[in-house]
Amino acid sequence: MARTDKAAFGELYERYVKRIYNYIYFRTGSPYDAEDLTARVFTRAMAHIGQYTDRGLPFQAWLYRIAHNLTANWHRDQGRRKVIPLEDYITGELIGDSPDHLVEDEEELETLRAAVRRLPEDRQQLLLLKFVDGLSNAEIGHIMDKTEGAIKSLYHRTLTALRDELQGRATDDEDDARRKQR
Amino acid sequence: MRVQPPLPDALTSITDALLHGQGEADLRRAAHNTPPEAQAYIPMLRQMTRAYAPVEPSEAFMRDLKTELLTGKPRPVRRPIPSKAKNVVVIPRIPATVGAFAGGAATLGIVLIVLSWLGNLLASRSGQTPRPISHRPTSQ
Repeated sequence: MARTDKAAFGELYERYVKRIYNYIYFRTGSPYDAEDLTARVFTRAMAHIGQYTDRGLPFQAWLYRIAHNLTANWHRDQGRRKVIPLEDYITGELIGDSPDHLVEDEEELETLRAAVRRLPEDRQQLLLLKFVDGLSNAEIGHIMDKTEGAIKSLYHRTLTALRDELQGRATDDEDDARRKQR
Repeated sequence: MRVQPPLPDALTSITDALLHGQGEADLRRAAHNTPPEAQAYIPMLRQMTRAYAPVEPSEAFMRDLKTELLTGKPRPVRRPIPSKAKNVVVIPRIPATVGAFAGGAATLGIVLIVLSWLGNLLASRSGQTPRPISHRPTSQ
């Protein structure tokens, strides 16, 4: 329908633009790159919408796959996959004049985001689709081309790895603090 | 006695309750009868929901992109404006006529200084010392 009807594509755009933007924003850490890549996702979707209907994949999953591929290319081009100063964009203004406990809280959240960024690509994707976009295991399975059971299992392994990563960091920090006290 | 769900199922239920539930009651219901191991993940899952709270793209961006997609009219691309360097001296641009006048005046000043210096030089060679300028009345 959207292939021949721009208004229909406009409706699809309205339904998904915020979700796609959020997904890309948390993968790039930059609102400007998120805007550019979101624009490219929808431009590509509009140009290739015929391929979507032929493949019979849910439209949402198809859009996320485009977003995932473009973001992966962006990371490769930038050569800076691990350097994502999210806090500059999210909390730049918040940190400026907020009470200390809010700053500490934000530091904890950034530690968590940094730990997520150290995970393998597919685990990062799974966490963002779940927490940023609020998708179910079945919906994530469509996007990542896995079964619902496989996603559930991967989610469990991802959380365990993330917890271990954070606990490892916490132990390292305590050791550093003890060494400084001596 | 109810059988506890396997850990992967319990983690999915707890996460769904945190993300889509109506509050603590839903979370308690989801966490009820789950392995203690699963409940130990709850603080980290709570942090995840805060760390990845959705953000809102600007209204202007969404409107402009829709216009671009549907009509082909290119949207304005937003980029951060680089902040001004603090150690750069900004020289104001002056009108050309003012510049020309200032240049002429400076040249004339230099010519007068050189002529004055040459006059003194010639006077000293001819044995005359230049008389100092004085405003005192001379006694005769």
